[in-house]
Amino acid sequence: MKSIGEIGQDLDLTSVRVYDAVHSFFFAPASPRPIAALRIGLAMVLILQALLVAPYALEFYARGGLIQESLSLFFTEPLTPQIHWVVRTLAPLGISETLCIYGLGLTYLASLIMMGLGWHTRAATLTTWFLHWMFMVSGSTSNYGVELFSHVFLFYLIFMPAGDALSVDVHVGRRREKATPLARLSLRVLQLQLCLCYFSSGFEKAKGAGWWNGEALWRSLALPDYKQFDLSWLSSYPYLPMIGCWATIAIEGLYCIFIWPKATRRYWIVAVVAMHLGIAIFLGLTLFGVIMCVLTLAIFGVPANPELSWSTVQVTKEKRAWWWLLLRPVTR
Amino acid sequence: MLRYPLIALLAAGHMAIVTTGIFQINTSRIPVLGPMLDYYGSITGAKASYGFFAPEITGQGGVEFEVIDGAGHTKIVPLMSATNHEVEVRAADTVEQIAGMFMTAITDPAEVNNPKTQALLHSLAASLCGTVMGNHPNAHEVVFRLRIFTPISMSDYRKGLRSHWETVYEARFRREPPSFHPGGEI
Repeated sequence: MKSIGEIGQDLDLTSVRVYDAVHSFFFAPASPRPIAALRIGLAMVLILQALLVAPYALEFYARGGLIQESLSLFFTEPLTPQIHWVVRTLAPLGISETLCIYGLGLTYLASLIMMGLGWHTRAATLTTWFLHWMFMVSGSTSNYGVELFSHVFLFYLIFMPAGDALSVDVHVGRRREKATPLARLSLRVLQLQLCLCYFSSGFEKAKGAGWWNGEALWRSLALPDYKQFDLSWLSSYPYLPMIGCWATIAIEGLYCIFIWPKATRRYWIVAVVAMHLGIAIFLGLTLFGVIMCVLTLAIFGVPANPELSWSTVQVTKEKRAWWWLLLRPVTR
Repeated sequence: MLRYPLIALLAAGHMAIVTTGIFQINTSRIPVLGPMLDYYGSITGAKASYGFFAPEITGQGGVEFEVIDGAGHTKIVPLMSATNHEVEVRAADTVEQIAGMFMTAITDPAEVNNPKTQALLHSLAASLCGTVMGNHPNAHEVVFRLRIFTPISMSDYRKGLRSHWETVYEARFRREPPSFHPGGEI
């Protein structure tokens, strides 16, 4: 039988190991490349979206567009930035609403290009996030998943070392590509956010009977807004939509488990990309499919382990000790 | 010195708010903090939920506009014609939201007798018809129809039944004749 002292030593050892594992998970220096890849991917998708929507900008954002101003205010939350504010502010200077909307659109496009290139990355990302939010609020009735995910991840990129790799800022020497604990913490936040999103999506689907008997997929494919092909023949093979539904619940609901181990990560990334390509092709949600692929590929697909850049960071246990003290277990 | 613990603490707080959004925990009623969390959620997207196409696919709402010109010719037009799929998706989303509002206003007993809701409903229909009249200068009259599409089950489909659109609300708007002010200023 172990003495109290020995039990105490075991507990101490276990807590140190747990602590080391947790610390390593959140703070072991990582390359900023996955975050940079996310920045570039997100910028490319949003540039494409901006170019597609630009010819219809007045219909979505002008006071006399699809939803007229007095009614659009009904859909918007208070104290959120709106294009009408800018229009009203600049009207006394003789600047028309059309000019305002296209001016803001061009600024948004320019900031996206700067963000994608990584030129004055933080300022560009901040501008992109704000203008994206403004367009999102002003055209709130037309938003869908692409806006939501862009808004969430653009906000993160403002604070993360998104310009510390694959950027003009690094090329001109304004930033230095190096492995840092901040990059690791940033990556973990992005990864946890994505895991929570998929878990939520899978969990909500699992609550519906239609997602277990295949009806959900069958009905989604029949809705006029999403119908791309005549797949009515599926009704003769009900097990096919059922398998599709089960696969969707499994891929989304178990994402937060199987995306982490190296042994399953590759398969899960392939499954997620295949699922989103399927959504893009069969439901017509192309940009949504692409942005979701970008998120998983950048956040979990781009290696974060520092290679040669390890030498640029000299974070020793001794150096870390000062702030370990704040978080370490009591038993230690 | 406190940089990393502080950043970690902020990140943990943010993720906690993300979790409340994902599990749809209503924090709005918490005095003082609730509205602040809601606003923070709006700025960051942290309070979003992600239940796309879940838990069930019940159907789809839609609007239809019948344009009638001075000679009585009619044609059905969409709210917006687009040349690319991204805009089609966004226009469909707008229609879906409008239809959702209308459905609540005409089916929810609390809203059916609410004069404010009914006035808003009428304004919305008028606003949309105004947009359509703007796109069709020859339109003398526009009929607005709210429709719902309920997809049938696989077994019903095999029995020969088919899904169809059903009109649940209709409103008619006429273009006002232009005012004439002889000899005076308008």
